[in-house]
Amino acid sequence: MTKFSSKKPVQAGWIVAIIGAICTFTYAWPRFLVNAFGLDSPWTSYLYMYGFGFVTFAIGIALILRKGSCQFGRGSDTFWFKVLIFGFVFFASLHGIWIILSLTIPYKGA
Amino acid sequence: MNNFGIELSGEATTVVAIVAIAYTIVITAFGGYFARFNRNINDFFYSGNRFAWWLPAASMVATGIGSYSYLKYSEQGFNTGMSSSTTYLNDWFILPFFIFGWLPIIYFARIKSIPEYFEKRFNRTARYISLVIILAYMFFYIGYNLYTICVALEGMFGVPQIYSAPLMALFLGAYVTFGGQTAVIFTDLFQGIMLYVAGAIAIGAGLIAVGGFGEWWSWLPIAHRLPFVHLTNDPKFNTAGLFWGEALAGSIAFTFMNQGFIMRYLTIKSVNDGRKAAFFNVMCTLPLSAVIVGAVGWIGKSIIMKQSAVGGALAGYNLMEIGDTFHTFIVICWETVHQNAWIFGFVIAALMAALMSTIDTLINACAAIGIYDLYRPLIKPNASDAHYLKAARWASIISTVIGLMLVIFFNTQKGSLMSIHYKGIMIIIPAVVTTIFMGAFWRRFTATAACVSMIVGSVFTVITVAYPEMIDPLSSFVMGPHNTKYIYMRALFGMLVTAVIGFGVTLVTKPKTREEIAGLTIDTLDESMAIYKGGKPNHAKGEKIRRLTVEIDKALKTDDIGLSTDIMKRLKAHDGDMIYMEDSRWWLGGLRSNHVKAVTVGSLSDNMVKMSTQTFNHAYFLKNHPVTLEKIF
Repeated sequence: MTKFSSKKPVQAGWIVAIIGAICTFTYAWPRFLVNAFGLDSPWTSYLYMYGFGFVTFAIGIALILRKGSCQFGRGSDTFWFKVLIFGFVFFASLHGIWIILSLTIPYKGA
Repeated sequence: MNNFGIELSGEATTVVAIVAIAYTIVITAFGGYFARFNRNINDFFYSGNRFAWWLPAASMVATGIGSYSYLKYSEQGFNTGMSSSTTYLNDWFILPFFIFGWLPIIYFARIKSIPEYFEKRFNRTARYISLVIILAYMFFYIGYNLYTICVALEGMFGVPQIYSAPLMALFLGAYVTFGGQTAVIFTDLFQGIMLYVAGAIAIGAGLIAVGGFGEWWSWLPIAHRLPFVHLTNDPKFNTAGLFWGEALAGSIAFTFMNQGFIMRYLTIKSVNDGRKAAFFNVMCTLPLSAVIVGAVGWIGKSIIMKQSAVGGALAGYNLMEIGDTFHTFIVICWETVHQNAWIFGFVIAALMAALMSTIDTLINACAAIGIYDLYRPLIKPNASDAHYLKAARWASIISTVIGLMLVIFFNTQKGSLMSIHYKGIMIIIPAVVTTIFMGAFWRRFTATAACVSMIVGSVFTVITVAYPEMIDPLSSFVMGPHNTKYIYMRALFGMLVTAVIGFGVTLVTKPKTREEIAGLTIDTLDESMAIYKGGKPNHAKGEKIRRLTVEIDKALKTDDIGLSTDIMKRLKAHDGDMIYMEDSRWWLGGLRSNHVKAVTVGSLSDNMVKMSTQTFNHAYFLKNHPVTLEKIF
């Protein structure tokens, strides 16, 4: 007989709270960015992409840890978990540095 | 006639045509060679799940770059700059869901096609609803790729599409039909190299023309240097839409439901190697591909800016003019290689390579769905392997013909290639993508909810084409663009409608028990691994044992191998553990290999492995070649 892990299911109240938090963030985040940086700033686009991207990524990480599909110490799970975190930081840094270089190196035209 | 902005002389046309045709024939012959590695349909479609990660990963390079990619992304790069790379660099957000969720689910459950997952996870109705949507997605890509290369061939050589489309389909159909997945992987590996070399030539020639890397960057307008385009300005290309429509819906569709990509992952020897392939693809292949397909557009923009500043052509080159931005790639290549027909012919052959390498994957994938989801379950359930292998070849031919017929449909469409592409994809994918996601990550999600939400979600998405104002409130909520096009926001709308309906229906319907869906959701993977192995998984990491000599022992059961106690210790393996054995020549990438079970033979020497003749033959081993062992779990 197959044994199943006995993690408690998430309570309905928590699900509603999480969905509410995501909706609030989805509404507030772009407005905050536009107020802080302006609609035309390259940082607005960057933070829009990585703000929502981070939420998506974080939900994925939370899910794989909570549901047990990633277990530290089992096989290569720990390694792959570190790779995931590294990759996110790598791409976020790459795009950030790219914007800085774009804005700081002079343009010969105009 | 649309001549792609260049004038090819009669001699140049002949040279370019010779290079392109010769290339196509060589690839067809190369692919046909691999027919000998197909004994059954598992070999034909999944190459026996035996390849090392780097082989399918490297071949994904070519699959991910379609014939439209060079033309479309160079145009986008010319118009909006380096933000054309966004679609290639935004896949990391969904990677946790893939490498720890979807990949192990489909691998361990031995899923052969995505619709098959729908039947196991939900019911048969869900299977056939998803089948219709997924086939629409796949055929759309086949037809679109064929159409774009035919447009290019007609533009440059004046070959009418009525001739070029069947001819291209004939070559493609030939090697996919006989060679199957193994042919697809090996030809795509070769074509991937070809694509990169051709891309490097085009980029190198462009950089030399503009005066080097520093000059290129300095003449590139600041807005064109940025990695992300304006949040909302351009209705067809904006960061808000790109996140919701492309980074989420598009990436999930490409990674989770593109049967062609899924089949690549299923050819790999283990989930761990599948993760390596996924990591390599997102971290290396996609960024490189973004440069390869878009850089000619970025360089073209710098050249045009520099020309206007110096008041004429750059020294040693003709004046380059981009009348129609769709011609950017062809014009810039042709001029920057000094109108050298041989080099240009090589670049055009790369366009053919891009076409062939994308469509061969899709044809093979459609054929897999045709066999596993239609022919075997509905028409001929209990036939022999030889029969299914024959049927698989017919399915490849039928898939090619359907793709060919879709060229007629694309011919009647109006608008740019980019808009035709995304308009179609963003209508097709939202409902099925959301259903896959909810099915894999939410155990409570019910079969009724899956069926209802896929149908209603798809219908609502289609309705927004006629009534785009339905998307207004949602686009306002996420601060997306305000217009009547909503190419990407349509996908978000479709996903949201599907999710809400799926959630609502789930709450009022009865879910399957955990036992019924063991191994098909993210929280049941432990059971899945046990079922896959046929015993308790052993996760202890052992050594890889190289260069063992094979000794035939007829007493051993097929697919069992005998190992000494010392080797078992080094592998950290127990009797019955799953072992992957391969020819020690690493560069074969697992072409000669198999999964077997370990059995301890105490008296055996430490540099030997015993197996039966059948086991030896199943792995396609050759006499006098040593083998390497690795414990899977």
